[in-house]
Amino acid sequence: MREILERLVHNADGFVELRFHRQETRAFEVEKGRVENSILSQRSGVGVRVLEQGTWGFAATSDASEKAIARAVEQARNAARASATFRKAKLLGLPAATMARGRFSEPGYDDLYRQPLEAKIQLAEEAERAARAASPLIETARSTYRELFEEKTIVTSDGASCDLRLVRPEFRVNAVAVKNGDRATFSEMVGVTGGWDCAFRDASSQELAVRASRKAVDLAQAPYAPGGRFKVILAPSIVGLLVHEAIGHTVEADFVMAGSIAQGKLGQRVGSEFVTLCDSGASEYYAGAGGSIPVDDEGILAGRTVIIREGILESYLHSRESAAHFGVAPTGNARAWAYADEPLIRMRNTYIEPGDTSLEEMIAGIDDGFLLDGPLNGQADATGEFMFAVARAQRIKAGKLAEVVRGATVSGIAFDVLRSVDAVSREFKWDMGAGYCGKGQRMKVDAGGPYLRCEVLLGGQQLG
Amino acid sequence: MNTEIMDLCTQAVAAARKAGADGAEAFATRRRTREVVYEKNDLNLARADEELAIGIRVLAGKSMAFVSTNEPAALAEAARQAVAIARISPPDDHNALPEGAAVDPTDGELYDPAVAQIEPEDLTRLTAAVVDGIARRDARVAIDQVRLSVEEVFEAIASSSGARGQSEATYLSGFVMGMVKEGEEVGSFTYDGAAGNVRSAVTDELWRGVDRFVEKAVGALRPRKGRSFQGTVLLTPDAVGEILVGPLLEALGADAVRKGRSPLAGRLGDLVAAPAFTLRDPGHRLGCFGGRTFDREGLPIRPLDLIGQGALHTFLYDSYEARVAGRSSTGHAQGGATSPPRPGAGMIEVLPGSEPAAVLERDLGLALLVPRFSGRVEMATGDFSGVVKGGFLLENGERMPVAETMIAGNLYEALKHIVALSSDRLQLFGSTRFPTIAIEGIVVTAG
Repeated sequence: MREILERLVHNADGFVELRFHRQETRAFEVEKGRVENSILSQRSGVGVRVLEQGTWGFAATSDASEKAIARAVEQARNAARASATFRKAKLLGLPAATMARGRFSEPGYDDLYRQPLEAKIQLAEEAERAARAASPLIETARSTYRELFEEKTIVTSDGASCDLRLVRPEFRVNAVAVKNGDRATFSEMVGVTGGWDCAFRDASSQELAVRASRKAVDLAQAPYAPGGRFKVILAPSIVGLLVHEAIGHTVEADFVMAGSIAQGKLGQRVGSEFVTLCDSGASEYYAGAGGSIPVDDEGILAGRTVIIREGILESYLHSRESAAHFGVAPTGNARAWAYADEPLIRMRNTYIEPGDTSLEEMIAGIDDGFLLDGPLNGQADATGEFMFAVARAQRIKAGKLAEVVRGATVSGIAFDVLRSVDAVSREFKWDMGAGYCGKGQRMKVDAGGPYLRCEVLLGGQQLG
Repeated sequence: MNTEIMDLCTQAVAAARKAGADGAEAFATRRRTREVVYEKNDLNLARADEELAIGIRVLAGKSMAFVSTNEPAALAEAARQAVAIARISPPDDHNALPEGAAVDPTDGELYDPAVAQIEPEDLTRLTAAVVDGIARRDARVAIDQVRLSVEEVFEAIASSSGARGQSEATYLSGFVMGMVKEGEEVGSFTYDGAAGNVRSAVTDELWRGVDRFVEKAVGALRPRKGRSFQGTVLLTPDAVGEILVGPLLEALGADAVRKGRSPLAGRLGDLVAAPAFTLRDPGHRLGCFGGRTFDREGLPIRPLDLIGQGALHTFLYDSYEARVAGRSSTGHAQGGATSPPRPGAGMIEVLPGSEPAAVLERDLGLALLVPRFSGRVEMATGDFSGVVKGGFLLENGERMPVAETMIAGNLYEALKHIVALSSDRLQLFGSTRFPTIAIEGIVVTAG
């Protein structure tokens, strides 16, 4: 494939970017003892992007023959020409960068591809069974095993020429408990870039299943959270949501250019001195983070970007185009979900660097607050206002952990919350690898960090 | 009618049978897309693509598997893989393909040649006009994105048990998203748009969407701290979809009932909502996405009340769930070429009340107006909690924009505490039509 793409690029005028992308997904879902789905999905093709008359044209073809790709190049040119007159700021060139060349292969691909499908169905069946067996209060349980194999070849007219492949397995288990008529649900999940040795190194699929059931039972008769402003400790899973949803999106340069809250704030204090926030294509601290990429979809080597250093906003996240606009180097954040998608600025593995406080010390420092864990979902606004639903909140009273409550939602203004951070733990965990980001296209990302003590608004079903 | 994809479905079924399947069903889609995107304050991208995808569902004994591919040349291999996966999947006595029949193709009402002929040049001109229109309405509005797209979609289904159907449709959609900026003040994100099959209808609705977008964006500027109380919230059609109807449809899925996830299990015939509330699948004629005459299994789609005057009439059944429950499918198998069927609703509406939304707003006394909800509704429990986006505190008919305001409650309780529905409804991106709804007893927490 690389030879075909190189030949096409060699014969083309102007800037041309060709990306062959093949995705194969296998998914097995078991619920209440039944295999609900056994699915294999294959999708492949070539995405073509050209820079013509100062604007982008994009076309895609599922036919990866040389003739079809050449036709797609012409379609992309025609699309660009058709719209060029309406583009005000012509993009006259792209900044020089370290273009990727060669072959990149992340660990786990061959082992997982060769592993029998029976083993994967069995994993999902056994976990679901374990979840139901964990307590007679479990009404139903569901486990889903999914793996995504990706192969790409990226060739650009200004020097990128590479092949890469990786695999991302993910596992989720959900349990519904019913206790005296009260229902509660809890999920455990894991998602990595790598093989099963990486995915299940901390807990087996069955251990995760039992954990989900026990937490669902705990929550089934837990009281609802009160509303109000509280000092809280965010577990790494919630820190992951915070840095991805509430901060990360506001520093994506396309959002910045559209007017996000981070616009014009480079060099300004946006967090306390405890906060150093980064985004990396690599899996920092330990292997397997779910958003890892060696090369982005513009063919740029994916490095590490310090976004906030000790509270000061230092960098945005860039594609080649936004880097040209800001006069900086690209950061390797241009990513496309599938061959038919154009690269957008996306996060990879986003995290806050660990500090030197222990979790116990952080708990001891709270008179009335909560330890929040188990992210359900989250969204953020251009204003920096964010919302996370939290599965499990544990009250902290007089420096000690107390009862568990449910139904909590956390909200705040991202930079205000970062400025309120007064302690950061030594422990570090990637904890969002089973999730997807949805910014127009889906994307595998990861996020995490240490435990973080800060102040937020808690929304609950009781008036505080 | 495009016969190519029907031929492909027939070939796929034959390939699966040849590979050893006891039964097979193929669903194929050919999609041609043209799109123009304005973002970062400029025209950013024009694109064109075309893709064919086919999904094959096979039975091996009583075991089932599903494989999809976008490579027609790999059809035989995909069929072989599907059979191989089915053979290692555990059997289920209820697994079967529905007895099908040839269903009428769409009669052309969903295919507008004027939409099919739209090219990137036309989309670019319309995009530029929308951008200019927003600036003329209010220069403070910062556009995050204007996205206009045209799709021509051909779908077909064939199975070894007699299903046979095909449809063709055109879709024109326009989406605008952004916020107001005034000095250091940044308002909350808001969005609007239009989608449909017919060019003239969509472009007219798009301009109304632009008016709504600007009004919502500007209205949310300079929010103040709200007030905490337990009382009435007024959900706009957007929020009705997010808080009430979306999760409710999940709970109405017969799969959720069978799995023990739906609190509505065993409640057929019961009053589950206020008598003013009727939730209806209008059939395919609402006029947009998913607008074919047959469901994902090739069974005909008909209008159906799911909840009528507050009483639960039926769950949503595909053929599997119908067999388990010992009844007939309601024609609610959803999905496409890249996913197996599962129960769901393609189009849905809530019937209107008697007073316009503006009158409800004026007469409610103290209430919170919820234009958009950013939060979570847990279908299994009904608990919801989240942030109100671009919200207003209503007090004696006066509107005050509020920031950092959260609401919490329970979906199934909220349905019973509906106190009013507006007579005016909004069709959101083609496939849903909801009124504004007032609900009592919701906890409101101000930041």
